[in-house]
Amino acid sequence: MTSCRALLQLCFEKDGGETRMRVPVQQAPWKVVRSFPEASGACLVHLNNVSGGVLAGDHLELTIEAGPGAQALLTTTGATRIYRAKPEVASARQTVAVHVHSEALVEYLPDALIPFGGSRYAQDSMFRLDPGGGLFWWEIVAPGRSGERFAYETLELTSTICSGGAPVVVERALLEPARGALDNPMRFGRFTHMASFYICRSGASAGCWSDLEDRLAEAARGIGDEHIVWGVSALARDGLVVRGLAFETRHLAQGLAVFRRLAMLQLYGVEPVLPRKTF
Amino acid sequence: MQDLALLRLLQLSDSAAPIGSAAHSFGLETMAQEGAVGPAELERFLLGQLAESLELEAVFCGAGWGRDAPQIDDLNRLLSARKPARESRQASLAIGRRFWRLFASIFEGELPDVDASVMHHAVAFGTAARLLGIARTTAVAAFLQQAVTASISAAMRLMPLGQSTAQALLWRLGLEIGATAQRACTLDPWRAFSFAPALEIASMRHPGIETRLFIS
Repeated sequence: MTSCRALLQLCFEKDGGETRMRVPVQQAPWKVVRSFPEASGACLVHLNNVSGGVLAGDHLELTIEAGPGAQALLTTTGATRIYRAKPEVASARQTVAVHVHSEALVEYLPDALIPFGGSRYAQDSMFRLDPGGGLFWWEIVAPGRSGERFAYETLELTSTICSGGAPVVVERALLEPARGALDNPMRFGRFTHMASFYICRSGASAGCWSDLEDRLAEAARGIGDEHIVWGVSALARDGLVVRGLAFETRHLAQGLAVFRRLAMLQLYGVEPVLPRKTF
Repeated sequence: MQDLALLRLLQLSDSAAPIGSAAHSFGLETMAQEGAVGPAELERFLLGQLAESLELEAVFCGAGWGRDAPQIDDLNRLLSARKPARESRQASLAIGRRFWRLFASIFEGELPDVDASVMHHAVAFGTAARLLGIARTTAVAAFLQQAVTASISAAMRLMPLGQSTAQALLWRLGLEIGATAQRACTLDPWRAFSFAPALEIASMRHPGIETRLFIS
Protein backbone atom coordinates (compact mmCIF):
# COMPACT_ATOMS: atom_id res chain seq x y z
CA MET A 1 0.00 0.00 0.00
CA THR A 2 1.42 3.39 -0.98
CA SER A 3 1.20 6.37 1.32
CA CYS A 4 -0.04 9.71 0.13
CA ARG A 5 0.58 13.38 0.70
CA ALA A 6 -2.50 15.52 0.18
CA LEU A 7 -3.13 19.24 0.51
CA LEU A 8 -6.36 21.13 1.01
CA GLN A 9 -6.03 24.87 0.68
CA LEU A 10 -8.93 27.10 1.63
CA CYS A 11 -9.11 30.86 1.28
CA PHE A 12 -11.86 33.04 2.75
CA GLU A 13 -12.47 36.59 1.63
CA LYS A 14 -14.91 39.19 2.81
CA ASP A 15 -17.30 40.29 0.07
CA GLY A 16 -19.74 42.93 1.29
CA GLY A 17 -21.62 41.46 4.25
CA GLU A 18 -20.67 37.89 3.39
CA THR A 19 -17.58 35.72 3.34
CA ARG A 20 -16.77 33.71 0.23
CA MET A 21 -14.59 30.62 -0.01
CA ARG A 22 -12.07 29.70 -2.66
CA VAL A 23 -10.42 26.29 -2.89
CA PRO A 24 -7.13 26.74 -4.81
CA VAL A 25 -5.94 23.19 -4.04
CA GLN A 26 -7.96 20.10 -3.16
CA GLN A 27 -6.24 16.73 -3.26
CA ALA A 28 -7.88 13.42 -2.31
CA PRO A 29 -8.71 12.21 0.27
CA TRP A 30 -9.58 15.79 1.26
CA LYS A 31 -12.98 16.86 0.00
CA VAL A 32 -14.95 20.07 0.42
CA VAL A 33 -18.26 20.09 -1.42
CA ARG A 34 -19.43 23.64 -0.88
CA SER A 35 -19.79 26.36 1.70
CA PHE A 36 -22.94 27.64 3.35
CA PRO A 37 -23.66 31.25 4.30
CA GLU A 38 -24.54 31.75 7.96
CA ALA A 39 -26.89 34.46 9.22
CA SER A 40 -23.90 36.05 11.00
CA GLY A 41 -22.15 36.54 7.65
CA ALA A 42 -19.77 33.68 8.32
CA CYS A 43 -19.05 30.94 5.83
CA LEU A 44 -19.71 27.40 7.09
CA VAL A 45 -17.61 24.59 5.61
CA HIS A 46 -17.62 20.85 6.26
CA LEU A 47 -14.25 19.15 5.82
CA ASN A 48 -14.51 15.61 4.56
CA ASN A 49 -11.88 12.89 4.41
CA VAL A 50 -13.24 10.39 1.89
CA SER A 51 -10.87 7.64 3.06
CA GLY A 52 -12.60 7.78 6.45
CA GLY A 53 -9.43 8.48 8.39
CA VAL A 54 -5.71 8.95 8.26
CA LEU A 55 -3.73 5.94 7.09
CA ALA A 56 -0.25 5.09 8.31
CA GLY A 57 2.33 6.86 6.18
CA ASP A 58 -0.11 9.48 4.95
CA HIS A 59 0.57 13.17 5.40
CA LEU A 60 -2.51 15.34 5.17
CA GLU A 61 -2.07 19.10 5.02
CA LEU A 62 -4.72 21.74 5.57
CA THR A 63 -4.03 25.42 5.06
CA ILE A 64 -6.57 28.11 5.80
CA GLU A 65 -6.21 31.78 4.93
CA ALA A 66 -8.89 34.14 6.26
CA GLY A 67 -8.51 37.56 4.66
CA PRO A 68 -9.19 40.85 6.46
CA GLY A 69 -12.65 40.82 8.05
CA ALA A 70 -13.57 37.34 6.77
CA GLN A 71 -15.43 34.91 9.02
CA ALA A 72 -15.12 31.15 8.55
CA LEU A 73 -16.59 28.29 10.53
CA LEU A 74 -15.02 24.92 9.74
CA THR A 75 -16.07 21.56 11.05
CA THR A 76 -15.71 17.95 9.95
CA THR A 77 -18.25 15.44 8.72
CA GLY A 78 -17.10 12.89 11.29
CA ALA A 79 -14.35 11.88 13.67
CA THR A 80 -10.74 11.80 12.51
CA ARG A 81 -9.84 8.12 12.73
CA ILE A 82 -6.19 7.13 12.86
CA TYR A 83 -5.68 3.62 11.56
CA ARG A 84 -3.33 0.93 12.86
CA ALA A 85 0.24 1.22 11.53
CA LYS A 86 2.47 -1.62 10.40
CA PRO A 87 5.92 -1.46 12.00
CA GLU A 88 7.68 -0.65 8.72
CA VAL A 89 5.32 2.20 7.79
CA ALA A 90 5.86 5.78 8.94
CA SER A 91 3.48 7.50 11.35
CA ALA A 92 0.38 9.14 9.98
CA ARG A 93 0.71 12.92 9.95
CA GLN A 94 -1.60 15.88 9.70
CA THR A 95 -0.51 19.49 9.60
CA VAL A 96 -2.85 22.43 9.92
CA ALA A 97 -1.68 25.97 9.19
CA VAL A 98 -4.11 28.84 9.68
CA HIS A 99 -3.50 32.51 9.04
CA VAL A 100 -6.14 34.87 10.41
CA HIS A 101 -5.77 38.36 9.00
CA SER A 102 -6.83 41.54 10.76
CA GLU A 103 -10.39 41.56 12.16
CA ALA A 104 -11.07 38.11 10.65
CA LEU A 105 -12.43 35.20 12.67
CA VAL A 106 -11.76 31.50 12.15
CA GLU A 107 -13.68 28.87 14.08
CA TYR A 108 -12.12 25.43 13.59
CA LEU A 109 -14.32 22.94 15.44
CA PRO A 110 -13.53 19.40 14.27
CA ASP A 111 -15.07 16.21 15.61
CA ALA A 112 -13.04 14.01 17.90
CA LEU A 113 -9.66 12.51 17.11
CA ILE A 114 -9.77 8.71 17.54
CA PRO A 115 -6.40 6.94 17.49
CA PHE A 116 -7.07 3.24 16.86
CA GLY A 117 -5.13 0.51 18.64
CA GLY A 118 -1.65 0.15 17.14
CA SER A 119 -1.73 3.56 15.45
CA ARG A 120 1.02 6.16 15.36
CA TYR A 121 0.08 9.76 14.65
CA ALA A 122 1.71 13.18 14.67
CA GLN A 123 -0.34 16.34 14.37
CA ASP A 124 1.06 19.84 14.05
CA SER A 125 -1.40 22.75 14.27
CA MET A 126 -0.14 26.29 13.75
CA PHE A 127 -2.33 29.41 13.99
CA ARG A 128 -1.13 32.89 13.16
CA LEU A 129 -3.25 35.86 14.22
CA ASP A 130 -2.85 39.39 12.88
CA PRO A 131 -4.07 42.34 14.98
CA GLY A 132 -7.79 41.91 15.72
CA GLY A 133 -7.76 38.38 14.32
CA GLY A 134 -9.88 35.86 16.24
CA LEU A 135 -9.68 32.11 16.72
CA PHE A 136 -12.02 29.56 18.26
CA TRP A 137 -10.38 26.14 18.05
CA TRP A 138 -11.27 23.02 19.93
CA GLU A 139 -9.96 19.52 19.90
CA ILE A 140 -11.30 16.35 21.50
CA VAL A 141 -9.04 13.33 21.88
CA ALA A 142 -10.60 9.91 22.52
CA PRO A 143 -8.65 6.98 23.98
CA GLY A 144 -9.43 4.75 20.97
CA ARG A 145 -12.32 2.95 19.32
CA SER A 146 -15.24 1.73 21.36
CA GLY A 147 -13.81 -0.75 23.85
CA GLU A 148 -10.22 0.41 23.35
CA ARG A 149 -8.41 2.35 26.04
CA PHE A 150 -5.03 3.82 25.13
CA ALA A 151 -4.10 0.96 22.80
CA TYR A 152 -2.35 3.25 20.30
CA GLU A 153 1.44 3.35 20.05
CA THR A 154 2.17 7.06 19.86
CA LEU A 155 0.16 10.25 19.67
CA GLU A 156 2.15 13.42 19.17
CA LEU A 157 0.24 16.70 19.33
CA THR A 158 1.87 20.05 18.66
CA SER A 159 -0.16 23.24 18.96
CA THR A 160 1.17 26.72 18.36
CA ILE A 161 -0.73 30.00 18.40
CA CYS A 162 1.13 33.19 17.56
CA SER A 163 -0.42 36.59 17.98
CA GLY A 164 1.22 39.71 16.64
CA GLY A 165 4.26 37.66 15.66
CA ALA A 166 4.98 36.19 19.10
CA PRO A 167 3.89 32.86 20.60
CA VAL A 168 1.02 32.83 23.10
CA VAL A 169 0.48 29.05 23.10
CA VAL A 170 3.15 26.43 22.50
CA GLU A 171 2.09 22.96 23.53
CA ARG A 172 3.80 19.70 22.62
CA ALA A 173 2.46 16.46 23.99
CA LEU A 174 3.79 12.98 23.39
CA LEU A 175 1.47 10.21 24.57
CA GLU A 176 3.08 6.78 24.60
CA PRO A 177 0.84 4.48 26.64
CA ALA A 178 3.44 1.71 26.74
CA ARG A 179 6.10 4.01 28.21
CA GLY A 180 4.33 6.51 30.45
CA ALA A 181 1.20 5.42 32.29
CA LEU A 182 -1.55 7.74 31.07
CA ASP A 183 -3.61 7.09 34.20
CA ASN A 184 -1.01 8.92 36.28
CA PRO A 185 -2.92 11.49 38.43
CA MET A 186 -1.23 14.39 36.63
CA ARG A 187 -2.01 13.07 33.13
CA PHE A 188 -5.54 11.65 32.62
CA GLY A 189 -5.99 10.35 36.17
CA ARG A 190 -9.24 8.36 36.22
CA PHE A 191 -10.49 9.94 32.97
CA THR A 192 -10.07 8.76 29.39
CA HIS A 193 -11.07 11.64 27.07
CA MET A 194 -9.60 15.12 26.80
CA ALA A 195 -10.67 18.38 25.24
CA SER A 196 -8.88 21.67 24.72
CA PHE A 197 -10.59 24.83 23.51
CA TYR A 198 -8.54 27.90 22.61
CA ILE A 199 -10.37 31.21 22.36
CA CYS A 200 -8.21 34.07 21.12
CA ARG A 201 -8.55 37.59 19.79
CA SER A 202 -5.34 39.39 19.06
CA GLY A 203 -5.06 42.68 20.93
CA ALA A 204 -8.04 42.23 23.29
CA SER A 205 -7.29 43.63 26.75
CA ALA A 206 -6.14 41.64 29.77
CA GLY A 207 -9.36 42.75 31.53
CA CYS A 208 -11.43 41.19 28.76
CA TRP A 209 -9.76 37.80 29.32
CA SER A 210 -10.00 38.08 33.07
CA ASP A 211 -13.76 38.75 32.79
CA LEU A 212 -14.21 35.89 30.35
CA GLU A 213 -12.18 33.54 32.55
CA ASP A 214 -14.49 34.35 35.49
CA ARG A 215 -17.59 33.81 33.38
CA LEU A 216 -16.45 30.52 31.85
CA ALA A 217 -15.09 29.24 35.19
CA GLU A 218 -18.53 29.82 36.69
CA ALA A 219 -20.10 27.90 33.80
CA ALA A 220 -17.51 25.15 34.27
CA ARG A 221 -18.53 24.73 37.89
CA GLY A 222 -22.16 24.48 36.78
CA ILE A 223 -21.62 21.73 34.22
CA GLY A 224 -18.88 19.76 35.98
CA ASP A 225 -19.73 16.62 37.94
CA GLU A 226 -18.16 13.24 38.72
CA HIS A 227 -18.15 12.40 34.99
CA ILE A 228 -16.34 15.50 33.77
CA VAL A 229 -13.92 18.12 35.05
CA TRP A 230 -13.18 21.51 33.46
CA GLY A 231 -10.48 24.11 33.90
CA VAL A 232 -10.46 27.64 32.47
CA SER A 233 -7.48 29.93 32.30
CA ALA A 234 -6.46 33.17 30.65
CA LEU A 235 -3.31 32.83 28.55
CA ALA A 236 -0.34 35.13 29.02
CA ARG A 237 -2.08 37.48 26.56
CA ASP A 238 -4.66 37.59 23.79
CA GLY A 239 -6.60 34.49 24.74
CA LEU A 240 -7.95 31.87 27.01
CA VAL A 241 -7.91 28.08 27.19
CA VAL A 242 -10.57 25.70 28.42
CA ARG A 243 -9.45 22.17 29.18
CA GLY A 244 -11.63 19.21 30.08
CA LEU A 245 -11.31 15.56 31.05
CA ALA A 246 -14.19 13.11 30.86
CA PHE A 247 -15.26 9.56 30.04
CA GLU A 248 -17.22 10.31 26.87
CA THR A 249 -16.80 12.47 23.80
CA ARG A 250 -20.38 13.69 23.86
CA HIS A 251 -20.06 15.12 27.38
CA LEU A 252 -17.04 17.13 26.30
CA ALA A 253 -18.77 18.28 23.09
CA GLN A 254 -21.80 19.49 25.02
CA GLY A 255 -19.62 21.46 27.42
CA LEU A 256 -17.56 22.99 24.62
CA ALA A 257 -20.77 24.27 23.01
CA VAL A 258 -21.66 26.04 26.27
CA PHE A 259 -18.24 27.73 26.46
CA ARG A 260 -18.36 28.66 22.78
CA ARG A 261 -21.72 30.37 23.19
CA LEU A 262 -20.62 32.41 26.21
CA ALA A 263 -17.33 33.43 24.61
CA MET A 264 -18.93 34.35 21.29
CA LEU A 265 -21.51 36.51 23.05
CA GLN A 266 -18.88 38.33 25.09
CA LEU A 267 -16.23 38.78 22.40
CA TYR A 268 -18.39 39.29 19.32
CA GLY A 269 -21.91 39.96 20.63
CA VAL A 270 -23.23 37.15 18.44
CA GLU A 271 -25.49 34.22 19.38
CA PRO A 272 -23.68 31.34 17.66
CA VAL A 273 -25.40 28.52 15.84
CA LEU A 274 -23.97 25.04 16.27
CA PRO A 275 -22.61 23.58 13.05
CA ARG A 276 -24.07 20.24 12.10
CA LYS A 277 -22.50 17.18 13.81
CA THR A 278 -20.59 18.98 16.51
CA PHE A 279 -23.32 18.53 19.09
CA MET B 1 37.09 28.22 44.56
CA GLN B 2 34.68 25.52 43.44
CA ASP B 3 33.48 24.82 47.00
CA LEU B 4 32.28 28.42 47.27
CA ALA B 5 30.26 28.08 44.05
CA LEU B 6 28.67 24.92 45.46
CA LEU B 7 27.84 26.72 48.71
CA ARG B 8 26.19 29.55 46.72
CA LEU B 9 24.17 27.00 44.75
CA LEU B 10 23.01 25.30 47.95
CA GLN B 11 22.00 28.69 49.37
CA LEU B 12 19.95 29.60 46.30
CA SER B 13 18.31 26.15 46.26
CA ASP B 14 17.41 26.21 49.93
CA SER B 15 13.77 26.56 50.93
CA ALA B 16 14.92 29.27 53.35
CA ALA B 17 15.66 31.59 50.40
CA PRO B 18 13.00 34.33 50.68
CA ILE B 19 11.51 33.92 47.20
CA GLY B 20 8.05 32.65 48.14
CA SER B 21 8.28 29.15 46.73
CA ALA B 22 6.73 27.62 49.86
CA ALA B 23 3.50 29.53 49.17
CA HIS B 24 2.68 27.60 45.99
CA SER B 25 1.53 24.05 45.34
CA PHE B 26 1.13 24.38 41.53
CA GLY B 27 -2.18 22.50 41.52
CA LEU B 28 -1.32 19.84 44.10
CA GLU B 29 -3.64 21.44 46.67
CA THR B 30 -6.66 20.99 44.38
CA MET B 31 -5.69 17.40 43.62
CA ALA B 32 -5.22 16.60 47.31
CA GLN B 33 -8.54 18.19 48.26
CA GLU B 34 -10.39 16.31 45.54
CA GLY B 35 -8.77 13.01 46.52
CA ALA B 36 -6.81 12.55 43.28
CA VAL B 37 -3.47 12.49 45.11
CA GLY B 38 -2.88 11.17 48.62
CA PRO B 39 0.15 9.67 50.35
CA ALA B 40 -0.26 6.42 48.40
CA GLU B 41 -0.19 8.14 45.00
CA LEU B 42 2.37 10.85 45.78
CA GLU B 43 5.47 9.05 44.50
CA ARG B 44 3.77 8.13 41.24
CA PHE B 45 2.52 11.68 40.89
CA LEU B 46 6.02 13.09 41.41
CA LEU B 47 7.54 10.65 38.92
CA GLY B 48 4.91 11.81 36.43
CA GLN B 49 5.81 15.44 37.14
CA LEU B 50 9.49 14.67 36.60
CA ALA B 51 8.69 13.09 33.25
CA GLU B 52 6.47 15.97 32.08
CA SER B 53 6.05 19.42 33.63
CA LEU B 54 9.26 19.42 35.68
CA GLU B 55 11.28 18.10 32.74
CA LEU B 56 9.96 21.04 30.72
CA GLU B 57 11.04 23.43 33.51
CA ALA B 58 14.41 21.71 33.57
CA VAL B 59 14.82 22.25 29.82
CA PHE B 60 14.28 25.99 30.35
CA CYS B 61 16.66 26.01 33.31
CA GLY B 62 19.34 24.45 31.12
CA ALA B 63 18.53 26.83 28.28
CA GLY B 64 18.74 29.81 30.68
CA TRP B 65 22.21 28.58 31.66
CA GLY B 66 23.28 28.71 28.02
CA ARG B 67 21.73 31.98 26.86
CA ASP B 68 22.71 35.62 26.94
CA ALA B 69 20.41 38.63 27.13
CA PRO B 70 18.18 39.37 25.17
CA GLN B 71 17.75 35.66 24.34
CA ILE B 72 16.86 35.19 28.01
CA ASP B 73 13.85 37.49 27.59
CA ASP B 74 12.68 35.45 24.57
CA LEU B 75 13.14 32.28 26.57
CA ASN B 76 10.95 33.62 29.37
CA ARG B 77 8.21 34.64 26.95
CA LEU B 78 8.34 31.19 25.39
CA LEU B 79 8.00 29.56 28.80
CA SER B 80 4.92 31.72 29.48
CA ALA B 81 3.43 30.37 26.22
CA ARG B 82 4.19 26.83 27.39
CA LYS B 83 2.28 27.29 30.65
CA PRO B 84 -1.46 27.35 29.93
CA ALA B 85 -2.60 27.51 33.56
CA ARG B 86 -2.59 31.15 34.69
CA GLU B 87 -2.02 30.53 38.39
CA SER B 88 0.99 28.28 37.86
CA ARG B 89 2.39 30.64 35.23
CA GLN B 90 2.03 33.63 37.52
CA ALA B 91 3.53 31.66 40.43
CA SER B 92 6.56 30.77 38.32
CA LEU B 93 6.95 34.44 37.37
CA ALA B 94 6.50 35.71 40.94
CA ILE B 95 9.12 33.29 42.29
CA GLY B 96 11.42 34.06 39.35
CA ARG B 97 11.23 37.81 39.90
CA ARG B 98 11.99 37.44 43.62
CA PHE B 99 14.81 34.98 42.93
CA TRP B 100 16.40 37.35 40.43
CA ARG B 101 16.00 40.36 42.71
CA LEU B 102 17.61 38.44 45.56
CA PHE B 103 20.44 37.19 43.37
CA ALA B 104 21.06 40.66 41.92
CA SER B 105 21.29 42.11 45.43
CA ILE B 106 23.97 39.65 46.65
CA PHE B 107 25.96 38.63 43.55
CA GLU B 108 29.28 40.47 43.21
CA GLY B 109 29.74 40.08 39.45
CA GLU B 110 28.20 41.65 36.38
CA LEU B 111 24.58 40.74 35.58
CA PRO B 112 23.06 40.35 32.09
CA ASP B 113 20.63 43.09 31.09
CA VAL B 114 17.38 41.14 31.31
CA ASP B 115 13.73 42.10 31.78
CA ALA B 116 13.22 40.93 35.37
CA SER B 117 9.44 41.39 35.11
CA VAL B 118 9.12 38.39 32.77
CA MET B 119 11.72 36.20 34.52
CA HIS B 120 10.57 32.66 35.32
CA HIS B 121 12.16 30.80 38.20
CA ALA B 122 13.65 28.04 36.03
CA VAL B 123 15.32 30.47 33.64
CA ALA B 124 16.54 32.74 36.46
CA PHE B 125 18.02 29.75 38.29
CA GLY B 126 19.91 28.54 35.22
CA THR B 127 21.19 32.03 34.42
CA ALA B 128 22.39 32.57 38.00
CA ALA B 129 24.06 29.15 38.16
CA ARG B 130 26.13 29.86 35.08
CA LEU B 131 27.27 33.18 36.54
CA LEU B 132 28.40 31.24 39.61
CA GLY B 133 30.45 28.85 37.46
CA ILE B 134 28.25 25.84 38.16
CA ALA B 135 28.16 23.12 35.48
CA ARG B 136 24.96 23.03 33.47
CA THR B 137 23.76 19.55 34.44
CA THR B 138 24.54 20.21 38.10
CA ALA B 139 22.54 23.43 37.96
CA VAL B 140 19.54 21.71 36.38
CA ALA B 141 19.72 18.84 38.89
CA ALA B 142 19.78 21.34 41.75
CA PHE B 143 16.78 23.16 40.29
CA LEU B 144 14.84 19.89 40.05
CA GLN B 145 15.88 18.86 43.55
CA GLN B 146 14.50 22.09 45.06
CA ALA B 147 11.31 21.80 42.96
CA VAL B 148 10.63 18.22 44.10
CA THR B 149 11.51 19.18 47.67
CA ALA B 150 8.97 22.03 47.47
CA SER B 151 6.29 19.65 46.16
CA ILE B 152 6.95 17.17 48.96
CA SER B 153 6.92 19.99 51.50
CA ALA B 154 3.53 21.12 50.13
CA ALA B 155 2.29 17.53 50.31
CA MET B 156 3.29 17.32 53.98
CA ARG B 157 0.98 20.24 54.70
CA LEU B 158 -1.86 18.82 52.58
CA MET B 159 -1.94 15.16 53.56
CA PRO B 160 -0.82 12.81 56.33
CA LEU B 161 2.83 12.42 55.33
CA GLY B 162 5.50 12.09 58.02
CA GLN B 163 8.93 13.74 57.89
CA SER B 164 10.87 10.47 57.68
CA THR B 165 8.58 9.16 54.94
CA ALA B 166 9.01 12.40 53.04
CA GLN B 167 12.80 12.24 53.30
CA ALA B 168 12.84 8.62 52.14
CA LEU B 169 10.67 9.57 49.18
CA LEU B 170 12.98 12.42 48.19
CA TRP B 171 15.96 10.09 48.53
CA ARG B 172 14.38 7.49 46.21
CA LEU B 173 13.63 10.15 43.60
CA GLY B 174 17.27 11.24 43.45
CA LEU B 175 18.18 8.89 40.62
CA GLU B 176 15.26 10.07 38.51
CA ILE B 177 16.09 13.70 39.25
CA GLY B 178 19.63 13.14 37.98
CA ALA B 179 18.43 11.32 34.86
CA THR B 180 15.87 14.03 34.11
CA ALA B 181 18.55 16.72 34.43
CA GLN B 182 20.82 14.87 31.99
CA ARG B 183 18.00 14.44 29.49
CA ALA B 184 16.74 18.02 29.84
CA CYS B 185 20.14 19.44 28.90
CA THR B 186 19.86 17.79 25.48
CA LEU B 187 16.38 19.12 24.64
CA ASP B 188 15.24 22.24 22.80
CA PRO B 189 12.74 24.54 24.62
CA TRP B 190 10.55 24.75 21.50
CA ARG B 191 10.54 21.00 20.91
CA ALA B 192 10.42 19.52 24.44
CA PHE B 193 7.27 17.59 25.32
CA SER B 194 5.02 17.99 28.34
CA PHE B 195 1.64 16.39 28.93
CA ALA B 196 -0.04 17.10 32.27
CA PRO B 197 -3.70 17.97 31.59
CA ALA B 198 -5.06 16.84 34.97
CA LEU B 199 -2.46 18.88 36.82
CA GLU B 200 -3.13 21.91 34.61
CA ILE B 201 -6.87 21.62 35.21
CA ALA B 202 -6.22 21.32 38.95
CA SER B 203 -4.19 24.52 38.78
CA MET B 204 -6.94 26.24 36.77
CA ARG B 205 -9.54 25.15 39.35
CA HIS B 206 -7.46 26.22 42.34
CA PRO B 207 -8.83 29.80 42.56
CA GLY B 208 -12.31 28.32 43.00
CA ILE B 209 -11.70 25.92 45.88
CA GLU B 210 -13.20 27.06 49.18
CA THR B 211 -10.33 26.79 51.65
CA ARG B 212 -6.76 27.25 50.51
CA LEU B 213 -3.37 27.01 52.19
CA PHE B 214 -1.46 27.99 49.05
CA ILE B 215 -1.52 30.94 46.64
CA SER B 216 -1.43 28.53 43.68
